[in-house]
Amino acid sequence: MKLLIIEDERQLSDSIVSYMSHEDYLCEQAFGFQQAKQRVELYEYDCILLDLMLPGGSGLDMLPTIKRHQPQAGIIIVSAKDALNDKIEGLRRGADDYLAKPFHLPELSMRIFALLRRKCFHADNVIRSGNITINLPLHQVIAGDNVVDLTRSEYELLLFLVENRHRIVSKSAVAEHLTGDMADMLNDYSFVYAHIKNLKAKLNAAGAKDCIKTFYGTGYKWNVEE
Amino acid sequence: MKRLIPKTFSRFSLCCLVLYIVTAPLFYLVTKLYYAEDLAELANAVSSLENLPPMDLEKDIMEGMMLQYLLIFIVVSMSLYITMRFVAKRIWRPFEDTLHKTEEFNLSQDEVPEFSPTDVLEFERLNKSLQQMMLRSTETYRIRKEYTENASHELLTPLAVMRSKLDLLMQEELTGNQPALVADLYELNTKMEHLNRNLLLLAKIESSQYDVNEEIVLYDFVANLLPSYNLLKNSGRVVLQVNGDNSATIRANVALLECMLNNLIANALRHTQHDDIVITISNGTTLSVSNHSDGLPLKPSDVFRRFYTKDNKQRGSGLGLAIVKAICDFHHWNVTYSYAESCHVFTVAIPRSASASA
Repeated sequence: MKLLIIEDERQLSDSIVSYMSHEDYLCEQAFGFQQAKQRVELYEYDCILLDLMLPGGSGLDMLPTIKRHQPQAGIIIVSAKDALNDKIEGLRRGADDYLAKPFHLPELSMRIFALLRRKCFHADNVIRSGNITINLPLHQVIAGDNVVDLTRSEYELLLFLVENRHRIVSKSAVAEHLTGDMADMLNDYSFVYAHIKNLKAKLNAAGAKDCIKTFYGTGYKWNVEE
Repeated sequence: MKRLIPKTFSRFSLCCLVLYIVTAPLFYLVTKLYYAEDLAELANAVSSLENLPPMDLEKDIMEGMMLQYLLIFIVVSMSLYITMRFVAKRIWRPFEDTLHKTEEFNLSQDEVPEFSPTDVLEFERLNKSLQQMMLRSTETYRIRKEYTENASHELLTPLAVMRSKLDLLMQEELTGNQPALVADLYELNTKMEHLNRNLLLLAKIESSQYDVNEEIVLYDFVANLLPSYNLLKNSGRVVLQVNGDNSATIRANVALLECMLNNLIANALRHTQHDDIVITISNGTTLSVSNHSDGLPLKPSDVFRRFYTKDNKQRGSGLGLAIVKAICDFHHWNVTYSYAESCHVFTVAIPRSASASA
């Protein structure tokens, strides 16, 4: 999978590269409008992260170029301008998703994953990890031979952990993934503990033991050998 | 351009003069018929050397004098009345206008009123200095708003970088008390982000960067959000109660309305452990959120202030209720706080949208 990261803040761009390179992603970076344009015109990418405020031009003006040269690529707008208008305008001009800065790297990873799955693997709508199978269209989780009966938010949580497998996701990343903007207002993430606890219990009961590892203080990790 | 007192005085003199001229024939008649009538007869008699006619000169002169006094008094008071009543009203009209516009003036509207022109020196000075003052205030206000917005906006990128680095650091093999340190840093970073995002939101609401563009049924809107609120409650529930007809529509900015509700619920969650949080919608337009809490009642005058907190155990950003207030002000809704039987209630009164009541 080839990823192009168009982001003028070098440090942030490097972090994304570092986080994403755990998966089978080949990441390339562009730090300015012209450089990004050249890359888009010359090479092929599966997914493009696009910052809206770039030195040399607006990311929104880049969208037509990307659409012309890379019709197959998924586009995620990443912007500090979290004005609603930008989001609407971006999606109208052909972007697939929008993520406001600051975001959690696991959230970005999840969005990229979901987008690529939509774009590239139309047939493969099943995620497997260890003896757990997640059927995406049916929202069904099977551990071994048992169907695990999960609530919607537990299902979302499981998917979030599985798609960030082998990496620790923080409590606040989980909270934000589950509740969106509401996480901003809560400084108490006890509902995250409760959800993790319930999910663990249900997976244990279905025979998938110790899938979720808790790291004291920092977060959680999907811990299943493939 | 004239000063106020000379102007009033000249108007008064003019008025007197006009009245005197107008009433001059009346003077003539009165003098001729009453006061001077006996004198004329006397003069005639003297000139024709006739016997003097019987007359009471003293009484006649007294009556005539009194009549003249009365007449003069009437003329002067009428001039006074007219100058006070009509002339003064005309002269003071620009002042009334200035007063009215100053009362209507709203700092956040970014608009300095245009005062109507006047030819009175004092009023002109007043208008000029008021206008300058208003211009300066709006300018200061605008700079403050811009500053908050720019500062928050510029902080977003470093905060995003910091968060991404912490996300990466977390993946490392941490030993000893390193995980705890990372967790602390992460928490601080999150707190800063929340604070920053809320300040940015406040600045944006205050500079009216949102439109009130949607007609929605309040009940449906809240009912849709209810499951996500229950997700956050470990024990007890968030329940929705309805009084009366709930099909009324309201006009609102949906993103802001949701933000307001989120903040009210988050506030209630923060202060309630096991009891239910009750959302009540009355007649489809009045929304209240109430929660039981052992805490003392809050001061209604302070509760919506930024960073106001009863104790030092502050857990929110301190901006939640200020945001609620700002969103209500933005929509011209009325939000109140009340306390009864250890129950804290926030009530938002929303007017029905025009098309629904029509």
